[in-house]
Amino acid sequence: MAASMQTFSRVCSTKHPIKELIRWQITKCSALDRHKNGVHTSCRLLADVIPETFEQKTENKAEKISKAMRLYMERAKNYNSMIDKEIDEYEVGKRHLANIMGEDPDSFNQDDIDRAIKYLLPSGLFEKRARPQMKHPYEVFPQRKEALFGKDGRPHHYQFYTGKPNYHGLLHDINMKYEHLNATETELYKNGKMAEEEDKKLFLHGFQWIDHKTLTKQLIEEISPQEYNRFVLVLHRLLKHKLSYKEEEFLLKYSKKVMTMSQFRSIEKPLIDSDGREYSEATGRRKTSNATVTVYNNGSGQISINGQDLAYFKDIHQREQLLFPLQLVNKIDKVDIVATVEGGGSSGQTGAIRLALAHALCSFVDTDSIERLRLAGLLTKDPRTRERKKPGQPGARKKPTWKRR
Amino acid sequence: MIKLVNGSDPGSSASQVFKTENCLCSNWLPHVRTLRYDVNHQEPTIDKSKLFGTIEEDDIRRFKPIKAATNDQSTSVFYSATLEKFINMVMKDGKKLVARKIVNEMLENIKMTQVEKFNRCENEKEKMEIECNPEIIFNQGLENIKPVLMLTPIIKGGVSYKVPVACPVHRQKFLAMKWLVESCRDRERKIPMGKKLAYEIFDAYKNEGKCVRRKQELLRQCEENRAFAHFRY
Repeated sequence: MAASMQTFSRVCSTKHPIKELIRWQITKCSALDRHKNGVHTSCRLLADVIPETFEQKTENKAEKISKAMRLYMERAKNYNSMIDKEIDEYEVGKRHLANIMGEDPDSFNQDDIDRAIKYLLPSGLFEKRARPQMKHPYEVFPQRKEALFGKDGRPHHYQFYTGKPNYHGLLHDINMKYEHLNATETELYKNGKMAEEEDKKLFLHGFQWIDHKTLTKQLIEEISPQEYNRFVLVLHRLLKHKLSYKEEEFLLKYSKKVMTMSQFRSIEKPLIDSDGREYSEATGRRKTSNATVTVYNNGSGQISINGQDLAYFKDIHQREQLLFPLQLVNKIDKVDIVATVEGGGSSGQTGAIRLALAHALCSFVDTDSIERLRLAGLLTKDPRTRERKKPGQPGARKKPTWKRR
Repeated sequence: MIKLVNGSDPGSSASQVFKTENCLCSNWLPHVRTLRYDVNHQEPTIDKSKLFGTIEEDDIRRFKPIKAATNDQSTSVFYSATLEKFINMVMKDGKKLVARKIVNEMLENIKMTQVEKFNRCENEKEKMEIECNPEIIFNQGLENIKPVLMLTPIIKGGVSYKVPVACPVHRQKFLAMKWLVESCRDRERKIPMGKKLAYEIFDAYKNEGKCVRRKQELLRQCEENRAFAHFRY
């Protein structure tokens, strides 16, 4: 440090101090010129390295930036050419695969490829992502952003220096829209035309905001959970605005439709046995009990559990549990039930039979009743099981006596 | 209502734009180490009137999986959520049958006493006023034991103060049931628990007895400490 200060003061005496300091700093920071000709640049006289004028110093800066830009452009070009090559390979490979499978190469799509690979290269690996795959390069290689700054080193995006320009730009856009709507609202109030806008409020029923992963993919930036939460809050604020219907298109871009749970259930048709009676079968589990229930339509309310009557369960409460699904769909004395159950205790067996019964009843009942059964929690398997004992403890949760010391 | 990503909120899921005004379930999850159910699962609807009533198209329960109904729940006429909770509080060592028997005995005792009174009564007007439904008496008794305020310890400047605070509804229920059971357990062992509970409930129904006194004691303490009420926040 002392040596460089001496050289600096030597230089300073002859030339303009501030300009020299700037030039000095530039040379010091330039990693490219660090060890030119075996001598550390910071120790060399600036006059030897750079010409005197200030304008030429900025040109040097521009040269350096354009050099960085050139390297950046080169890397981008290489990447693009690599991707193009991969795409060509993929297309050719697709056609080969189609020929191997004996199918039409022109109409061979991704589903066909998946099937073909599964057939030709069967794998028993549990991790599906470790199995052989053939996907389009856009799905395999992570997406990259286009050139972020121009030849002069000036970034294209006005939020570039936030580090996450797309994310912050998006938040900014949403807020700008909100401000704009506020301004529109005041105008309408002034003109007395707000009353017309009363009925047009946007609700977006049955829609969900896009989830975290989708947003990350869309913005090609790493979004933390807190940032995602902020994004959702801001979007929601825009939706809640009275005039949000004006931004419906924008809001729909960031929402996706949700499927109702009832759409996931396929309606099973009842079977017909040798006597011509309609019946349906279902299995149910609870803790370690397994139950199989056959429900016969057009019955008289006869119940048989492992050959016995309802008296198989000694507790009235447990018998009431079996009647729960029947009571909800009004089939108490209208169906016959034959149940076999094994394993577990009385309570577990009750739960198993109840579940199987509810599932079996779905074949004889309309969709509204099925939805009611579902909402009452009768169609869900109870996942609760006995919690294991942990080492160092006497039980699952119980701990040894606490001693202060 | 908005729901946010995990990390900021213990019981949350992916964000949604649903109307939850009609949703019965609260999204408050108990702070237990692990949950057997996925965070998305909603509480089941046991009330028959609500099941057969209107459930809107955009109700959150239409889009989410529902938890399984427990072995105690049912849509029958005889089901009462308060009584089931009370049975759990009376229960010791997981002996549900014994607990249920005790509570049934309590209800039976209440009913018998009231019916006896009803039959003995000669005045028509008074007869009409005698309540024979044990569940109603039980509920009313509990209501009389529920404290409106409670004391919470708040540390300010190194000193722990007992500050009177509005008692939340679930805490009121819990305290009322807890006091009821505790006072009965303290009593003579020779008398069956069902009978003891019945006596306590009758006292509470008339706003007398040990439990109601305990509640009044608590409210008196809250009144004494009302100077600290501004420490709430």
